[in-house]
Amino acid sequence: MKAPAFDYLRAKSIDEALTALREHGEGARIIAGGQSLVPLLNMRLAAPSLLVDIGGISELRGIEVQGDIVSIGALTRHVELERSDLIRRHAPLLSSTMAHVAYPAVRNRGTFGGAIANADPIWNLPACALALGAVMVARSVDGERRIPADDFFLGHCRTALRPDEILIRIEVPVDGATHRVAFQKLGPRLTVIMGVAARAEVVDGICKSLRLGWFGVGNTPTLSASAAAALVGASPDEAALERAAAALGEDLKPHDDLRGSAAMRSYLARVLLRRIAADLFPEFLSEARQEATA
Amino acid sequence: MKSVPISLTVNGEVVEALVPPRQHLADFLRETLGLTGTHIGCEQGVCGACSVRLNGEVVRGCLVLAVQADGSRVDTIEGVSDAGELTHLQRAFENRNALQCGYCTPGMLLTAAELLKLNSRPSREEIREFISGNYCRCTGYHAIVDAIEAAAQASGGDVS
Repeated sequence: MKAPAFDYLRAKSIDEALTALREHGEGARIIAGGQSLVPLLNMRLAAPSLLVDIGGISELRGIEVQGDIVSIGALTRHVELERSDLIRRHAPLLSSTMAHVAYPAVRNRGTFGGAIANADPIWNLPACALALGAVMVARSVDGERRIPADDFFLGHCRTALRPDEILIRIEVPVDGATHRVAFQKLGPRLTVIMGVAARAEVVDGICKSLRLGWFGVGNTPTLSASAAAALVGASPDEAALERAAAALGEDLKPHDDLRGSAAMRSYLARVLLRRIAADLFPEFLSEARQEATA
Repeated sequence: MKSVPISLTVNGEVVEALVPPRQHLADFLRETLGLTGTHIGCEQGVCGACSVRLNGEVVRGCLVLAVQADGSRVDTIEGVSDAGELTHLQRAFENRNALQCGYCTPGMLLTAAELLKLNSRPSREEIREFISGNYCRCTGYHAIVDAIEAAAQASGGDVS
């Protein structure tokens, strides 16, 4: 199908874009790479009166390491993250996940900020942002505010961003020698069922912290705090993994859809938990590892 | 809604036009410029038939608005094949029967050329992965993977 008609503004600066958003209210939408929005326009699932194109604002691009933070400009394209040495060295979860984001032609154009701001619960990047404990930096004409990932994803494709705000950058923590990351998913790319991204810290055989961000389970990307807690504070061994699997039911609210029932998703969540735990803690979970690779 | 003036370079020629904001790049190329080698399939970014190069990289023509291409360099299958850049691939596609109806072929060729530019000797698995966003309903893909593999070998790693 063809998109409905709308007006178009090519913003030359962040301020110009923010002013337009404030003036036009909810009828205005931001477009950057367009890889999420243009399909919605073409299917007439979105009908903005004005598109504000921020794609040409160069200060929204780029990857920088500032102390223990990797700062990623919202317009940084997937392909740039995929090939970035800085990301490979300091935020390797994002490097390894990028290959699972859509297709090369979409990664050539789609932006990291767009994937986060559009927040589809079946996408893996919002779940990665949760696993990493990212901070989203939003700006409006009133100034900037910092929104932790835990407070950012509110509902199906709905975030804490207000209609007059632009996601400016995403900050993720730098991984140190004690950090480990992993990613697991089920299903081919267009019909991916669900998956999980994780970041853990292990010091002297003790799991100090763990964040597990799920996608394709329920109507938002979801953190499983109880399951993670069961693996933290001791050696992440088989007994701890059993407790974590039992706790998953408290964390996840799986849904029914054409790709699978809620019951199937609950079962698969336990399978994925075993696999990702085996990736993260191979020295404690040789049995789970064998199962996962069998 | 107000049309917007754009200026871009298509297959090496400067083009200036007034476009409605809702028109996507693939429609602009086909309807306004008559470059019908860019095909239109799903118009939601799934099938890859509308693949074109934007500033040297393959993108979905249906997921870029023509207004967004202002100031860009666009290369379509017409330009890239006339430049002789696809000769190895085209010959291999023909030899291996890697097309039947031909609808996906322009997108397949541009995508395959991008792969060979990034990786001159891809494995069959890497080829499958890279063309996973380009649908073919005729061949079952085996012949296309064969052809891309053969083109990589024929070019001896030199695909520029």
